[in-house]
Amino acid sequence: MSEKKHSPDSTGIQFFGRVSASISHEIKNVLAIMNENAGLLEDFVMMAGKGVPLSNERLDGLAMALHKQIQRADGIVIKMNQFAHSADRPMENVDLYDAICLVTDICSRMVDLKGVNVNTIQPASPVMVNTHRFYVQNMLWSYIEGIMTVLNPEDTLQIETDKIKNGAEVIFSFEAPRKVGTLEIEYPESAPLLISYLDAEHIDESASGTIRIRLPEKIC
Amino acid sequence: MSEKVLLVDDEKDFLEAMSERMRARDMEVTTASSAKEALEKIEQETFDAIVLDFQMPEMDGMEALKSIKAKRPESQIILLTGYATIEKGVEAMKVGASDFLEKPADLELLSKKIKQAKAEKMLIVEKQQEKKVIDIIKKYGI
Repeated sequence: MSEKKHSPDSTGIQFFGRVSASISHEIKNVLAIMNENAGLLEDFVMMAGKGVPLSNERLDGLAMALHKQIQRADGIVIKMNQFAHSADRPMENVDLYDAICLVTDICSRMVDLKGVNVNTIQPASPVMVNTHRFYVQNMLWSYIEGIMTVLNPEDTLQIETDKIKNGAEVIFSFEAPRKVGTLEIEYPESAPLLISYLDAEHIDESASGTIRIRLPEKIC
Repeated sequence: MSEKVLLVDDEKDFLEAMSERMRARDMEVTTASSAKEALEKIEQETFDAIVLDFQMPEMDGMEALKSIKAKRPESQIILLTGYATIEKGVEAMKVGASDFLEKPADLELLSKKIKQAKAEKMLIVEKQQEKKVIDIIKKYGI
């Protein structure tokens, strides 16, 4: 029973649910702004009916504000679509930097609520592994979420990738090593499960502000 | 007399559009883009109603609600949220929210709630003043 509860499938569903909920909140915020801009337009029309002249400048400003929110919503939906398709194939060649960028984008609201800055560093050349894209993304988020438990608002978490012999490394560096000595990083339950599922290795150098995840070139 | 409202949301575009519409309805609106800024504003002045986003960076709506109530217990706070569930609503009411509205909000409905909040606050302030007078009368045996 407990094995079933902690399978990657169940953590994956939880991850998918959390991301979907966060994204739907983001879309609601966009809709709220569009709603107010549409309301302003109605107000202008009503005032024009009472003889107040319509200002071209204000109308132009409103159109721009609406375009801005439409582009924002489009960006959110494009990322959500990419994320949804990441579960399509059990195994594929994954560019780790792309995976990191997608996770930090789709989870940006959850990171923003914590007030932490996440900085992703693009490698000089693509760092590829043959793995399960969705679970790599799930693992990346588990680590970001875990490390954020020892970070304060305004702290920075840096994520980079590197090629190593027979695989690749994801390196999380953070500016709060002083706290790690007294505060344990609280990783979600999913983190060790995903490390095991992805045949990965967790190297804890948290005392110096670094956590390394080593991924094999190809999952067995 | 117009309602004096503090509008708190981390989305600046939302603050701009919503506050302009509220001002067009004769409300006196002050904006804050974080819970921290809202707490500073309530230190400086009083408001008939505070319209507060439920989820904001650093300090979420629930924490902000508790802090505002601790500083100004008579505050009338209307929470705005992406998803208004019954659980969240009950939790917010327990902490002292006057009302709970889902985004995108209907401004006419929000305006009604702000008017109700103002009336409620006036009652509370009147009762507080009445109590002060009674206390003075008791103290000096008038």
